[in-house]
Amino acid sequence: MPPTPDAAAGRGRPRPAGGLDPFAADGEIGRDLAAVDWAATPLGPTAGWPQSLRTAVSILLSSRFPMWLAWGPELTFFCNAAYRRDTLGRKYPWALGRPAGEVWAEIWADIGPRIDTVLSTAESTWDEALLLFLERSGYPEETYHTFSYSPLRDEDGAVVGMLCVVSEDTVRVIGERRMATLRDLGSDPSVVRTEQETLDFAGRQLGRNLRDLPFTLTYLFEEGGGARLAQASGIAAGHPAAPAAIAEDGAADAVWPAQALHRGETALLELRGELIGELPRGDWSQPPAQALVLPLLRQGGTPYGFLVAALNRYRPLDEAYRGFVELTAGHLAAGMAIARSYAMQQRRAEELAELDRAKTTFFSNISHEFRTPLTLIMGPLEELRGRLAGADARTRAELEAVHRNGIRLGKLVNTLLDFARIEAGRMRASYQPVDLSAVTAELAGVFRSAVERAGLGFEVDCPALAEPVHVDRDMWEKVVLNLLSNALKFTFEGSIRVAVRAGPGEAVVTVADTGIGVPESESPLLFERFHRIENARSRSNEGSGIGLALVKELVELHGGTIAAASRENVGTTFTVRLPLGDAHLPQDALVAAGGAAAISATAEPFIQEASRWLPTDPSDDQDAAGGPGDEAQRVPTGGQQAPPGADRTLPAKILVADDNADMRAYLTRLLRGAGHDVAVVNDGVYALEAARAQAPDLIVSDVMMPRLNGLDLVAALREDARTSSIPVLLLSARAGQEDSIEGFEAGADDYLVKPFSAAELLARVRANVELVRLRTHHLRWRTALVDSLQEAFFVCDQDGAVVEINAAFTDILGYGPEGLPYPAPQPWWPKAELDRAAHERLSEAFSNLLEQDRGMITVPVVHREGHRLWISAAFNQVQDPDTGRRVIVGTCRDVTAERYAIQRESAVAALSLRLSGAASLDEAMNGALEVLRSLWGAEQVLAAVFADGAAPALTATGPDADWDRLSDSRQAALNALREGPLLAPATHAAGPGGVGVALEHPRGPMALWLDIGNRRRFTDQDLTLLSLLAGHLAQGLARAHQIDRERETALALQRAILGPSRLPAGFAVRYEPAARPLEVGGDWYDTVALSGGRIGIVVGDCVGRGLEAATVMGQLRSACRALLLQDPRPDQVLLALDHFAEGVSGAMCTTVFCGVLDPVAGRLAYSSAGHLPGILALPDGTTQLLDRALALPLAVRPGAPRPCEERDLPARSTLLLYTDGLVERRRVVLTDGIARAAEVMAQQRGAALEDLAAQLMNRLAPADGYEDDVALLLYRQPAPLAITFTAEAGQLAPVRGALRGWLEKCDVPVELVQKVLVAVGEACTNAIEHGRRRADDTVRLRAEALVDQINVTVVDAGQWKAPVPPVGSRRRGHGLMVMRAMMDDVAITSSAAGTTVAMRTRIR
Amino acid sequence: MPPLSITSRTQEDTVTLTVTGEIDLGNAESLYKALAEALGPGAPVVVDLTAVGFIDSRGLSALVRARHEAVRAVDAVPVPILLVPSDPVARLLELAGTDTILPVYPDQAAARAALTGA
Repeated sequence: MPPTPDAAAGRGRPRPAGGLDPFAADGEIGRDLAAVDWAATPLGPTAGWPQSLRTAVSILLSSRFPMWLAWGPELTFFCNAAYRRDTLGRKYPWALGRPAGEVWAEIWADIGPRIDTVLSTAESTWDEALLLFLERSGYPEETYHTFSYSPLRDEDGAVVGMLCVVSEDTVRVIGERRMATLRDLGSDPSVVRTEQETLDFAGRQLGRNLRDLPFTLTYLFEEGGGARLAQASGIAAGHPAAPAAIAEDGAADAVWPAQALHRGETALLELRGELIGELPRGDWSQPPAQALVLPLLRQGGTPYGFLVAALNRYRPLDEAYRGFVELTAGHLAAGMAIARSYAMQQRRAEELAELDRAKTTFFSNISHEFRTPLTLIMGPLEELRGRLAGADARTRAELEAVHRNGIRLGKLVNTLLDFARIEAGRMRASYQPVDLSAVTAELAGVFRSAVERAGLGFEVDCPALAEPVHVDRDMWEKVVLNLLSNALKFTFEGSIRVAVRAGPGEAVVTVADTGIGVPESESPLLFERFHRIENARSRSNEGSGIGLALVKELVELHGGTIAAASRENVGTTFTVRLPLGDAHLPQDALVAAGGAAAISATAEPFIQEASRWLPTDPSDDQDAAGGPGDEAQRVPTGGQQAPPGADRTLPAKILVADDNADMRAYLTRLLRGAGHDVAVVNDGVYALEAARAQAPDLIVSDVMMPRLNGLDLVAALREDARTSSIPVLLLSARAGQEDSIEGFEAGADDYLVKPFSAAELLARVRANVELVRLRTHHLRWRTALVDSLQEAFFVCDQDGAVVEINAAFTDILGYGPEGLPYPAPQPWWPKAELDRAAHERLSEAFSNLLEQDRGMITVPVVHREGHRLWISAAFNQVQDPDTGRRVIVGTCRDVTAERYAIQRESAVAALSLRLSGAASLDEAMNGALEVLRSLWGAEQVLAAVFADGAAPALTATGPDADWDRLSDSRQAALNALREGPLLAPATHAAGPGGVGVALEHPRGPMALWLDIGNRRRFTDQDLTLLSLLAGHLAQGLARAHQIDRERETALALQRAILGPSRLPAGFAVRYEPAARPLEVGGDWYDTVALSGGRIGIVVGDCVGRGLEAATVMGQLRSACRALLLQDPRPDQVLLALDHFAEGVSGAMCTTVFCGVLDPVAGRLAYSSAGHLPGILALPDGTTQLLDRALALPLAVRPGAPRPCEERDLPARSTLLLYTDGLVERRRVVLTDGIARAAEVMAQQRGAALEDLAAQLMNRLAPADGYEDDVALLLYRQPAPLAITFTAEAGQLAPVRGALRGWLEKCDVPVELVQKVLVAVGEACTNAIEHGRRRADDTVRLRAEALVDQINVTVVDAGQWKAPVPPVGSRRRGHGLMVMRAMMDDVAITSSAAGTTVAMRTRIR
Repeated sequence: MPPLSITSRTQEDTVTLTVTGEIDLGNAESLYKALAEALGPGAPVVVDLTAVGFIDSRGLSALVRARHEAVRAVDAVPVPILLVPSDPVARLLELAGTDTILPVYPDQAAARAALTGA
């Protein structure tokens, strides 16, 4: 605590200065400095100051830059005016002449060390923007200073003080920090975010400045009142100061004054009270004391919400700070404004889209609604026109007017529907490649008559294009007809020209006229919907203004473009460009080229309309009105054809279903008029009933009907066998391909769109009725066709019964049509009892046949005459057109020969595989017999080898592989086989149901015999195969024999190399060479008994594998043994081995782990030549790596000293040494493999050592076996105790002594030692008492320590009963009771050979 | 390992046998004999086993047999045998449940005190 300035001021005494006044440079500070009692400071009176100090003070005072200096042993403080102003504040003048450490006590921890450095090293320091908490204004203040301390020297050059030049950076640092936050808040404003995303983004930015804003909360006002927490920074959700919601009423206990903020007021709040709890501290050590709460202002409205900004308690809330917080709130408010306005725009756009959809739906619906009445107008009208052909001119003219306008209305409705479809994306197109020139020319041709009658020239210039163009024919018709219609309408003299050309990658179609044209300003508007050129001269005022707009849409659906070039009074040219190929079109809308379809009914209204524009010639009025003689009507629309008169097929029985009474009456009238027999119903349900009651020849049904609509009616009819073949003609008001496709998919035979003409209906009715009658005729043709097929042909019904076959089928299988139908299972199936495999194979294939749509199967079958065949059948599921049922149609051919060829190849391959994989002759034999057995499904396969002299050696697939147990007849048969020619199979050679063959076995002649039972015939094919396989077998056996001999050699070598494998107690090892059948590799382990009970342990790994590596290994191993015996220090052994390895080819880079174990002390000294670290598993489940004393592999740098390390092996710990084959895996880091081994060690540390070795080999083995040699060696401290002693009481004490010593090495508790001693003592006593009476009077004691238990066995050659001994031997029972009390588990097994007591206790 | 040693000392009508070493099949019989001999005069016998590091069921049996002898010897009035066991001995005595016929005392003084108090 600094004393008050008053106290400091009163302390000084003005003193006259001796010599030059050192304080003269500054009047004010100088005066105060002069007032200091210098005599009381270590510097003494000013008069005695050295010149160096005077100079320094003088420089200090005269500088305008903030500085202070410290001089002398106490670092007495001086400063100048600038420093006083900027930094010292209220500490002036108290600070003058005081020790610097006292003046700046609060920051001494920061600056003290720096000053010390300056004084001790005489080097300057430099610190930039160092954060210091100065208490110059009455509170700890966050300040930043950039300063330099430089040494000051006295006359002798010694450093006696230091000068600090300082500039304060507080304003700059804090200003930059706040600017950064504001900049981040405003960053990337282009990304439009939702309200929450905006706030989250802001929250992340604010959270990065926890100095100015230790925490913030953003609340948004709710519509219903109150506010909810929308974002927070620096404070956890659920904190008492951050309630998720604030109630509307603004209760007094609310944390934040929401109501005042709602009014737009800003408030500065003190942060304390229970409500707020312990606040987060931001970047500071103390929580904020105040918060500024500001509204998020909305232009022209109540605030969006408010921002709570906790304030930095180390800075005053000055104007800059307040401004910063306000700008932050402003940013948040602006972000909210943008987010909300964006959300509103999006809603508006969605509403507009919805409106547009509603409009489209409306258009679509209203157009549909027009169609039915139109049909009812046009139908009767056509009848009327026919009937009133002879009526007076006026009647006819009026009728024609009605007719024309009806057609026009229809065209208009269709165009509107097209638009509605395009807008709804439902326009279904089928693009097919067409000869565009021909199609266009044909369409133009339709107009020729009208154009010529208008007195205009008509030029159609359509040379064939090199390649077809993909168009939807219906659409293209509309395009061309609209353009021509348009040209004709606005052209009064001159000509119209239609041309098709090939452009680059496109077809160009132009329709040019010499008409009135349009002003240039109007050109762009030509394709606008409902746009009409005002006041233009035209042939008609009719027109909806949508023709060209539709054309544009249609062209664009083709991926094409349309452009108009027009000049007033010169003419207009429309240019359509269509891309070639089909890549630009939706692939699912492509269809193959169709026939040269005729121009559809689409053209008629255009011609009708155009004709009306032309001057009327009274004489051909009727023609012009579209009568039968009209040239324009030559297009085959059928619309104007009179109903045919007498028809050969009539009358037909027709059922009409329609819910519209007018339509029913109309249809009835029409059909009866045509001579048909008509029944009428008014919905689908009645129609179904009527059809089931009596099947009509044809059903004419409306699509839209109550109860059961037309599509469902068709489906129901098709499901029922009685009605499935009745043809159905559907009538629908819905035009368009997608609807008719739906109709056809449902199974309708024909589909007619309203409005339709009477003639069209009658024509379709006639066609359908004729079709039905033709079908019976077709049937006869079909039969003849099927019979003429070269391949066998069959039809199965859905239950799998063969209902139809052809002549070829009979040829292959022997079964003729007289046996039809052949229900499953057919007579050609192999009998299950004779050949189960074949039978199952066929059953499976057969069920596939019934379940799959199509497929190909190859199955075994039996000819009528009994021989085996293989047939390959291809089948398809199809719908029977007559019954609608699923049937299977298939063809098949005889593949027996091919099949046997394949079978031979695969059998040879299987046998070769088995032979090549065999590691020994016996394995080869067993494998080969098994292959033969499964190939023929034989009961058993026997092979007798007749080696010289001895009884034949028998090998068999089943049991009974003993020559002596064979029946005499079989022995005789096998003998006979052996005498016979080689590789010549003989059936019944070894009795009925068998086949045999003789071949050469490496050990002598061999007779092979297959017992195939009576179940199937062994065909010639089988005999050939057997002969072939026997040949392969003989070769394979010879090869296996060769391998056997090599293996024997290798084993002999291995034994020589590995030496005797007698391991000291406490060890377990595993060895697995990678190269089989060799059983040695480049890896090795070794243990060497050394003096003093020590044991040398070596695990090594030579480069490479196989015999070569094994040879190197053998030399190194022997050398290592010798070296260990000579000098049992691991590092010395490896050092010497380095030199040895230098001279052995291939020994370089061998890795070796060499250790010397003292089992008594439980210590291991080791050194590693680049070998993998050993793993030590401790009883507590942890593992450690023996990874010290590691140096280079052998012979890499001979002569370099090698390290040595000693390691304690705690009681019951287990050591694992291994080679890399155990842990190294492809694509797995080596350390992972080691870790895995360590894991197994830790998990299995309680297992017996041999079990642990097995577990390691098992668990670490890769899925397909070890790829490299593996050697592993395990040692557990202490080694098991094994004592053999004679059955004498005097042995008990020494045995007990040995056991006690061993138990101490096991580190088990004293009480447990005692218990084990007593229990084992009892067992030994018993053994002695019993062993004594036997010839063999030795007792064997073995004790083994596992990680948490001790196992002891005592074995004697005597017998003793447990647990109830006979009378007189109660001691014995007593002994057993004691054992049981001392140990967890005691098991006694007695046999003739002796008694074994096995005891176990857990180590607690 | 030191062989079993048994020293006998008679003091104020009490025989004290001090046993040192380990007791097993090999020497249980000598313990029994020493005990039987000590029991002969009919004075109470304190058997100090505090220096016995090991005893097995045969040793225990020797103690129990001696006790039977004591009962038979003097007209069904048993000569008291007082045991002062070591930890290992105490544990086995407890296990065998012999403390009802062979009372156990923490040290020789306590055993003698029990005799004089009785």
